[in-house]
Amino acid sequence: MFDSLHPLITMISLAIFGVALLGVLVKKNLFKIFLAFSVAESALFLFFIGNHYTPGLKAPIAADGITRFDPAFMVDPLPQAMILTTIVIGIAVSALGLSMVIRYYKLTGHMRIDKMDELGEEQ
Amino acid sequence: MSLLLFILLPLLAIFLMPFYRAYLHYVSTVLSMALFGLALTCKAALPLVERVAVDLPLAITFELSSVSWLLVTLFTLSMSLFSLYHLRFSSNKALFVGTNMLLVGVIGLVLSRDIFNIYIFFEISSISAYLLTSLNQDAKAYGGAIRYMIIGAFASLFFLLSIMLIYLTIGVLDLQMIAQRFNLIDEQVQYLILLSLFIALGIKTELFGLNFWVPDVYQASRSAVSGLFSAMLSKSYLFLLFHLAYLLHVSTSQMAFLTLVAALTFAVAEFSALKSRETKRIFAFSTLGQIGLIALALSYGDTALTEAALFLIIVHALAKLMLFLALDLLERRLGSTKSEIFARFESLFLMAVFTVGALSLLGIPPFAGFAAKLSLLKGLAGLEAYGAMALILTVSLIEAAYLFRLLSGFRQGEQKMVVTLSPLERLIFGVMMFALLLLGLMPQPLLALCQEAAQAMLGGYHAAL
Amino acid sequence: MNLKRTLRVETLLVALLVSVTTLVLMQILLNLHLAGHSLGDEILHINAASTQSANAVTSVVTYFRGLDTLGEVSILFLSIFGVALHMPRGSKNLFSYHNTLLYIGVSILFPLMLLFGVYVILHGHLSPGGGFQGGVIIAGAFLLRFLTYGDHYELKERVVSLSESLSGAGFIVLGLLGLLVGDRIFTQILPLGTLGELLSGGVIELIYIFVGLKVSAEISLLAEHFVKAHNV
Repeated sequence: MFDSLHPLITMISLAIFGVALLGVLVKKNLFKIFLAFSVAESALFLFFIGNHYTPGLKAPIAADGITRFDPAFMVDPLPQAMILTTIVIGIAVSALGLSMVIRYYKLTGHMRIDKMDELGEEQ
Repeated sequence: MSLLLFILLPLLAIFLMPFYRAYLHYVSTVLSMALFGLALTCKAALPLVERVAVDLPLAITFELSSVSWLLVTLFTLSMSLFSLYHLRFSSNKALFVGTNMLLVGVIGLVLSRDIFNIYIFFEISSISAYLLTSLNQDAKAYGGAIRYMIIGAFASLFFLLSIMLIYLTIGVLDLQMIAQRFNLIDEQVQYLILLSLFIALGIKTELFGLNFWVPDVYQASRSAVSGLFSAMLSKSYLFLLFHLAYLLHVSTSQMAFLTLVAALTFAVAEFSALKSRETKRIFAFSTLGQIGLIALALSYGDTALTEAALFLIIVHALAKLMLFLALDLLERRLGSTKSEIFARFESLFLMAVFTVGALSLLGIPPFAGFAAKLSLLKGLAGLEAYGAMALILTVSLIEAAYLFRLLSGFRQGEQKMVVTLSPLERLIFGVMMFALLLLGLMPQPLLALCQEAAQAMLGGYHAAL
Repeated sequence: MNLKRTLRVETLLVALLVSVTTLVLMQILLNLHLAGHSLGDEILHINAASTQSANAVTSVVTYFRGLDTLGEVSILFLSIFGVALHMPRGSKNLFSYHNTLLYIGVSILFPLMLLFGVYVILHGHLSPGGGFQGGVIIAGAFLLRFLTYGDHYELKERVVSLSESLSGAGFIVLGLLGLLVGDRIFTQILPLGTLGELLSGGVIELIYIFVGLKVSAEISLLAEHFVKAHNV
């Protein structure tokens, strides 16, 4: 059906992205919102890495008989390095976010975004 | 001498924290003043370009042009004043890590010329801002910080999307090279990249429609930290937004859209301030208003207006930092930031500080805000943008209404608490007031610097007006 | 319990909006013209000459874009610092199974996992893996210990904070040495060696050791703070 996998990967990853975005906007539980952000981020990773892969190319590692680096038969290493960096950042952000949600829950007894009313004019 | 010292020295100080846990406030002060000195010594050698590790096209480029020099100097100066103010308090690990990381983040944002590297600094500055917002560790602080994180995660998602699209379609990460090849890609994709960049940076720049979270975050943070956000964080993103806009040569209609958004930011924020009775929120709305004003000036892509905008950035950062630090002092003594606290203290010096700050924000001579607004109006008159001039003058009246209402609190109230300031605090506030007065009386030297910076910032961009 | 879920109008509207956005995005991105020639190709061309690292991804992460990695490590530090601030370590562990099978299994696995983690870190420039992956494997070993030993096991705070701070500082000093020895920050200052050998790649190996140490200390600390979040 397709010449390469790219359209399929784009469609799947964008569908996941849409679902995650929906989760972010619709869900009221703070925990679920942060999880939805993680999912959305992963969808973007899938989109990026998937679109950079061409079937038949090898990993950019000189092993198993490959001794020469050549873009003709190796995939681009830069997206992989970028995603590696971004994954770690994603972990860092969700760890911090979840720790704040846990603390907020202990302080107020709820973790619903529509009940967060401690800030504003009255306080 | 390397530009990366601005990044590496604070990071080194943060990592080595366990060795001087009890002296963090001193370390922070010495460090920020050293960086300020370093920035001043760079002036002679502008523009400085440095590549990390390897050559183009692979290298990450750092560039200290006259405009980023101006901003780096401003940031290190603000940070120095902030740490001097905190010298009186005990060593605080969280404050040390948060503020110095924020400094790293904002300096990186204005120096880096590599889109993915900018994303890293984007995240560093956001995460340190989340940390600083939650510093008080009560329900209010966490409420603000969680909101901030949710909106910030949105921003970074869209920034990431734009980086990915740029790399997929252009195949480079260096801003200069992206700018060269940006016109060659599909028009739809161009729009998509610009739109996601606008969403990401618009959230961070606190532009209209994307800034509903700002008052909450400022209210949740400590006042001094809000001052830092106002002086450093929003300014660095403002620079980044318009730097990218000029570099990518956005069309006239897209710039007009930015003008509209900026005007709305300005007007709506100042109107919202009118309703508020909580000083931190009032100052937050006023920051939003000033950001709208600066963005309005920058969106014309005109040298004279950009010069005025840069001058306004500096003046506003100084005035707002001073107001927020003074408010922090009051908050610590009186335990509240409602506007009624202005009737509850007795200190001629602090009253002078608030008055000077407010008058400078309003743009009343002889303070620096006047020079800024004057050059802004002159620039607008030069472009015959009379609608924008009328808007600025009208909205300034509203600004005057709420600021004078705030100041009139001084004359009310019976039971006043006497607030005394330490010599160091008097020195800090004295220097800032003096600077605002001096810049108002003699704006020429700084305006000349701003003009040079404006030319560097606009680069080859000429709006076809 | 009311099993009937009510769908609100607001939710439906948001769903409609998101699906339209997704469809528009899909329409644009399905017709994306990829760049024929990208930065990564040039990296592949010069990788052998400038790093002698067999794993091109590793050379990008640690050498060509070493500054990004430093930023990433700082972000991790910042967030773990925040987690430690918001959830001070309690004495109670959420998992206290006292299961003999788990106990014996972990006693066997723990040293093996440490060894494997170190192996992955040291071979980052030869095979898939490196500082982050190895560091997380080591942290996983510690997580197993938290699950097994319950309240009786805790990380030595001094050791963790020292390894965190020294490895971070080491990374930066390595960058600064580039300025002193070479001509640029984060440049190669060590002999490159031969491609495919353990001692090759110049600074790459050292950077990954620092990163591995830092990541393993930080993720272990993260695991401990979440596992012992009982009595915040």
